[in-house]
Amino acid sequence: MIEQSLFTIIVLPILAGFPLLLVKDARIRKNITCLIFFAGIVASVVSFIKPEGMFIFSLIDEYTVTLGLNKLSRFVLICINFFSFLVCLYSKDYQEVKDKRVYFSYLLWLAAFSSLACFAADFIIFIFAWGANLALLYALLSLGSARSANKALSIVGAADFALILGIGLYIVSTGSIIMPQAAGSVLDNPLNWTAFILMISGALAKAGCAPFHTWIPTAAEDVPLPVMAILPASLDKLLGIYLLAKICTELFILNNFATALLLLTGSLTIMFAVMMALIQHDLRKLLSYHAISQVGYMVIGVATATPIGIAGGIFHMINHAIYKSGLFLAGGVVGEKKKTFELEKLGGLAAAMPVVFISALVFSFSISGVPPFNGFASKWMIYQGVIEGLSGSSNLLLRFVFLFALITAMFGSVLTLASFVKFIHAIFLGQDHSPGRKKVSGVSFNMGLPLVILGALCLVLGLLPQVFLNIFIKPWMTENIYFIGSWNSVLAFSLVAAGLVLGWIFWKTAKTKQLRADDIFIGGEDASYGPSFPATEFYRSVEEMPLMRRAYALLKKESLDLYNILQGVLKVAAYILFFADRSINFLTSCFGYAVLGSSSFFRRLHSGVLDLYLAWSLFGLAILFFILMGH
Amino acid sequence: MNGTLPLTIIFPLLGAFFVFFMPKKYKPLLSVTVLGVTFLASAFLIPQIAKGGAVLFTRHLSEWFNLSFIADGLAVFMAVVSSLVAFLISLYSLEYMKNYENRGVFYFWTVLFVGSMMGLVFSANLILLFCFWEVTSLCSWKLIGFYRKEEDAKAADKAFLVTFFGASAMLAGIILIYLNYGTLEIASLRGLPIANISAFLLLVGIISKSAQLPLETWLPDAGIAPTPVTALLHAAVLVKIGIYAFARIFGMTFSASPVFLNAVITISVVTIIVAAASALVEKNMKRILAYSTISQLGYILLALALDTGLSFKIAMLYILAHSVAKAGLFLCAGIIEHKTGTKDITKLGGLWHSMPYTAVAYLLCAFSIIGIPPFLGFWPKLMLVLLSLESGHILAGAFLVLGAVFTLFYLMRLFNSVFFGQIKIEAKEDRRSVMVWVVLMLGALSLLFGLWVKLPFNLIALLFK
Repeated sequence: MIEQSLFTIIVLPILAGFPLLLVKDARIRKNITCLIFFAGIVASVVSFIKPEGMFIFSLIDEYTVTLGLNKLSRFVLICINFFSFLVCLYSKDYQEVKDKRVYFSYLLWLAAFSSLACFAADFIIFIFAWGANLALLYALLSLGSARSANKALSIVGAADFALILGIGLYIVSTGSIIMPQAAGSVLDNPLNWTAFILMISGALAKAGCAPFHTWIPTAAEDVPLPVMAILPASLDKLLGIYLLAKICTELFILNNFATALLLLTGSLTIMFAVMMALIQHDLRKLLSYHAISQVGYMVIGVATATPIGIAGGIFHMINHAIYKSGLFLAGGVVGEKKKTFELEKLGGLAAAMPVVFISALVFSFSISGVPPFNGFASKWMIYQGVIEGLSGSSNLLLRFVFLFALITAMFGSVLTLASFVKFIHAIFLGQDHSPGRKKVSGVSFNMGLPLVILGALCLVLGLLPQVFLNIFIKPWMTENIYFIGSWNSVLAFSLVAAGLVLGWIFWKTAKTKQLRADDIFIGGEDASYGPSFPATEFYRSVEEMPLMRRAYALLKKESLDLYNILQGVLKVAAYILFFADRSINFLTSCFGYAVLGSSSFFRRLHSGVLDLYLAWSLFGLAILFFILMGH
Repeated sequence: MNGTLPLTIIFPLLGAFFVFFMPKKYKPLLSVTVLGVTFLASAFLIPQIAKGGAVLFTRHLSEWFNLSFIADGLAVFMAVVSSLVAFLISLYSLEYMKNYENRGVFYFWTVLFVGSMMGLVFSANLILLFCFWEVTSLCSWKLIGFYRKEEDAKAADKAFLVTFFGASAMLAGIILIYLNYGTLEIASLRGLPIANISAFLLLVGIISKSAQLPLETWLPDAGIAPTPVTALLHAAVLVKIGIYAFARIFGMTFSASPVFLNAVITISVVTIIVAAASALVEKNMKRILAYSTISQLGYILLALALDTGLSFKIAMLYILAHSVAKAGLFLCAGIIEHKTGTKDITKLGGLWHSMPYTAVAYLLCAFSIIGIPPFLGFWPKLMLVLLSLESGHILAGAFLVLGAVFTLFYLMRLFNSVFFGQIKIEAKEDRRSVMVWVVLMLGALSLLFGLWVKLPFNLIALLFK
């Protein structure tokens, strides 16, 4: 039975990708790809419902490859195929990619290898699938620009090699290439610690967590947005956090130090990225920094090592994939219609694009953790996990780190909301700032449907998180999830909805005829811009605060970019080692010159003049004479 | 079937002389045909080996020197890989060399080189192996100095001097073996211990031929030769001779001491890192690729030095992956040089638009060399890292990974400098060219073998069962 799933989800897309490259008709390429992804969704749902056992085959005598799904990977598999399908559907009308012959083949291969990572029950095939994703990351990003593709390949590639080394050390430590399903190694020796750090680096780099994140904002500037939606927004996050969860729950048992390390990484990622997002003037870069910031929540959730925190982290991974891919896709529609992503040049699009506006609003509320949307549900669980960890820890330093994580996570949500107020206002509200103020048409069916589906999911998962948790996440958990206090999403939603309806009724029935014109008041500042205050100026004052100015100057420094650091370190090492090579070359040349010199000396001795040969013979005879006399 | 073995050796050797005497017009086609037939002849040996056992051919001459040849798994594998890549390179050279006046010399020495390579891999007597070894040195000397300018002659002399120095040490090692055991027949020496002094003397010869530290510097300088020569010598054949000798002598004949094997591991690890780092500094395409070859050969030597059945298979897979992909990279560099007239990456840029096929082929081959899945190069590299860690060489494993990171950076640096950025030298489009087809074929092979890795693995398992 598993053979059928493997065929539909992995073999078919890989094989189909090749002939698709030869198909000239773009429509056929798109439709076939969508069909294959749809078949993938069906097959992955079937494998979720009916567990199918293992598939084992021998690569060589010494290595047997094992494929199979566990409870977590079955669920991630559905998500991979689902998001791939939606992005494929959307891409059918997206100008920048729809006619590129390789694009749909890349999508098929990306989904196939991502799925293979889920099927991997041993490390060999896992590394294979994981690394193949790197090649496809490069391929897809290079559709936008070589610069971003190269940067991503360098950072994620280096992290992938670190992961390979980490896995190798883990295999040495445990003696098995089969991935354990429960209770892993204790972090009590340098070998395990090294393996843990290296593996975590690989997972965090894939998820786009700081300090491995810098390729994402670079890519956002010139890579087509459907690619951003499928990679940093959804599949990369799914795989990265999936691996992180495996490392923290199945491969290793976290101790206080490891927990603190991950909590700090998550907290700093949230703060750094959200602060950067706040000052962006480009729609794509703003979203990309939020894609980084949200990873921090997932890392914190998993790092708490509490059932509710881990479940919250996994839940947030799914939620993030939903709203962030939705945001990128919505941004893509805006960019496609207005031919710009600069927030200064946008505005007033709500009326022209109601579907995009409402879905973007829903995604913005979700990412900001506004109830009753899904982002709130998962963040709420993460907060509870942090509180549980805080109260359960006896180590004072760890308690402080938990507290720090809680504060940054909550403050991060506030700043996220602030950032999305700017996002929504700049694009959909206020006045149109585009040159010529050209009217735009609404969104097409293919591009609109994914937005509606993702928006609906934000609401449904926010309203009924328990149903989702019970079906998809709890079966994987070894311990029960206990919630602190009570939260009724449906009731909260009903009250909010009732409030909105009442407000609308009051507004409609109230006979407000006289309007009072007054001075504009914005946080106590002088609103010199008048009524069309641009959204990009919203947080200028924050950026210019004395302390913040320094902080931003530091954050913007290119010398802190891991890519530049890595290149710098490798270059210095390379020059030192190159010097060693040149020294050897010098010695080799000396040897060569010595040989040539001695041959030239002997050549001179053989000048062809008889007297010289005679003199040498006599000289030789004299030596022989002395030797014989000595004996 | 026994006749196939002598045919595989004699055909290219005789073919070389036919090429020499043939009118200039027919030389290219004849040499391609000879190399194609050589490949087929060596491939025909596979079923025989798979059925069971080796094919032997012996003519007794004296106690220490016999005309004895053996076609076992290792010999056939090396012969098939070398002749296949040599055949593809000769196809490529049809277009590349067509404007060179003295191309007849190139074809003669190339075919002779492949012939002596065939003789070498099938040799079952150490002194016979040494004889063919020296013929390959002679061929490479002539081929490296093909352009006959002063700097070419210098590079050729350097290559010849270094490899001759190594060969002399090797000969001393062979003499010591003869003095110890009274025979140089490989079959009679199987399983015997080898004295460290002999082993280290042989090793000097091996590392000089396979360009390992400290005898590696001739290889980057030899990049001055025409591209088909560099591809043939650096990627596919010449440098693999040392590796082959190591596999034959220390993997399948003598049992070497742990001290010796640990020394080889150290040499290979240092070579991997130093050569990979040097590739990151160099600005000449061919020198970068030459350093890359040195570094990658370090991986293969390390796999052999780990001295297990699995590491042997890994080394064989690595040889296949590297031969195919590195030949592709050198040939891509050749196309670029052919179209732009320079090898300096600082003078190149923006070629993606005019040479997209070459760029794609380069990427496919580069990913294989770096070790990115699903390309073929990934499999042996991963297994080697895991195996070295499992065998307790944790530091070596870590350096292997560091070497891979260096590889990622230097190959992508080359790619970005040449294909992206501003156009500095205009180049003609690269469509409808045999050269491009060949590099695309090598890139595609790297990908397809990687996706269906069971095929090369099965072949290796079949040959080495």
